[in-house]
Amino acid sequence: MNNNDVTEFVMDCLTDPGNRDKQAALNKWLQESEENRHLYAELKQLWQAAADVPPVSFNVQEGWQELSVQIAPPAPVKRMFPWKIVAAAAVLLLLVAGGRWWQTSRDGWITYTTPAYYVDSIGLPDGSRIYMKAGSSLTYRRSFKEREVRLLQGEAYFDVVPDPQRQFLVVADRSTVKVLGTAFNVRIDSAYTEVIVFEGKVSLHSGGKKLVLNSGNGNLATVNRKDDEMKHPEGDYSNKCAWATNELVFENEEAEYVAKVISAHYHISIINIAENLRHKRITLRLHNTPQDEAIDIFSAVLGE
Amino acid sequence: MTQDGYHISAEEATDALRGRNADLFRKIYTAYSEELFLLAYRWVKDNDLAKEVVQSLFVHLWEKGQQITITGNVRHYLYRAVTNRSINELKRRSRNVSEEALQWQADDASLHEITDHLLLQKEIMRLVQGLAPRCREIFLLSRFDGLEPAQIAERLGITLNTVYFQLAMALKYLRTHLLDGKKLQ
Repeated sequence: MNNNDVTEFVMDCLTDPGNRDKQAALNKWLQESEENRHLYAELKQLWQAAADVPPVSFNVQEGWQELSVQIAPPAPVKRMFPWKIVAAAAVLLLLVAGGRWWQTSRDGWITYTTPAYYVDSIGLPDGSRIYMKAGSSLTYRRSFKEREVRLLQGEAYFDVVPDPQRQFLVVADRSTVKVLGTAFNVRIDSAYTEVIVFEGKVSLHSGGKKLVLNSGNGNLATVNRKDDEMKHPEGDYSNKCAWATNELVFENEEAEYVAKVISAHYHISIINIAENLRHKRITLRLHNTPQDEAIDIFSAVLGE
Repeated sequence: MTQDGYHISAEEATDALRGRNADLFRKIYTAYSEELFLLAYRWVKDNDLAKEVVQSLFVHLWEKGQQITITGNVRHYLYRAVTNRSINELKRRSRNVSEEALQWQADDASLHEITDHLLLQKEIMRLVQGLAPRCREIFLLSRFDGLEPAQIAERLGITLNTVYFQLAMALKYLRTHLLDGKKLQ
């Protein structure tokens, strides 16, 4: 085996510990030489160390900025809610963990790109909040006199503060979403721009056409990036926003489907369901529920 | 692996706290906060709480600095402090405290072992950024999201063999770069 094959072979064994054939082959290989044992130990150590690192990395600079607000003498900070004040100060400083800010002139466009491997959120000057998936990028004017955000790539969920005087625009590729105050999700991939309304309503404009979307049934629309063709299928797609809202709602859905969505949301292997219960219809709501609790609730509802 | 370029002695650290020396205090924070965060995360399994534990420890060090004397190894002193704080926070929030945290013996051997582990994790988090995008995506899905290779293949619409190949590439990259770092020391 050359070096590449060896790493692949070890990889195969590490990810499939239950496979007896592979483990037997591994043992045989380990017995061949001290060098093999050493290599295996190193790779295994790396593999395991990578498994229990936190999903978000620690930003030392940002941490220090926050800390220096707290320890700055004389401390004008009220001691009652120190953490909230620190959080607010951090937003003012426009420091965000790991992500990248780009800014040109005084009222130039500010571009924010999330790090490659985690969800992040930013607060806008008007109080609205945007949740962004890993590797997403958006831009807006520093002053934010006009409430306009351009989604450049990826997926973002917008929780917009109502303001009847100023509508809020999200421009994604050739489509524009207009709202007054509501919550919705916008995603761009190579072929489509997709909008899902979680709360309230928005109007979607693309290629001279306009479509009003309400939350609930029919809350999703896609626009083909090539020819601006709009599609507006039946169904409530709110659960697709769960990555940002932490809310999953199922009404009269098949247990098998519910299990699949819950598993995907918590990034766990598919929950097994007894054969006779797979098509049972269940209704269930999970809001900010920790994984273990969610599984308990699901099995309780399933057993009713 | 325990060499990281920071050499802050116990006397220096105590002086920094007593004299409220912000520059030195910052140096201590810059040197250790990331691994302290990783250690706190190991016990509390919660990003925000882990960060809070680290920040509150440093606030405490700054505010009560007059009464604190650090002896022995600064890093080990901080590891013990962050572990105690993590356990206290978990108890205060009536969250489950793992056996591992309670049993953690802060003797020299386990301190050295955990230092190696945390510095390795710190390096991994840094090196992962240098992987090719596809390779990184697959590695992260496997390691951070805990997906099985078959699930990754399904999610990304690629073959299982590609997943194995990319994971092997990632491991190889990490190992090579970690070895390079060792040689430099």
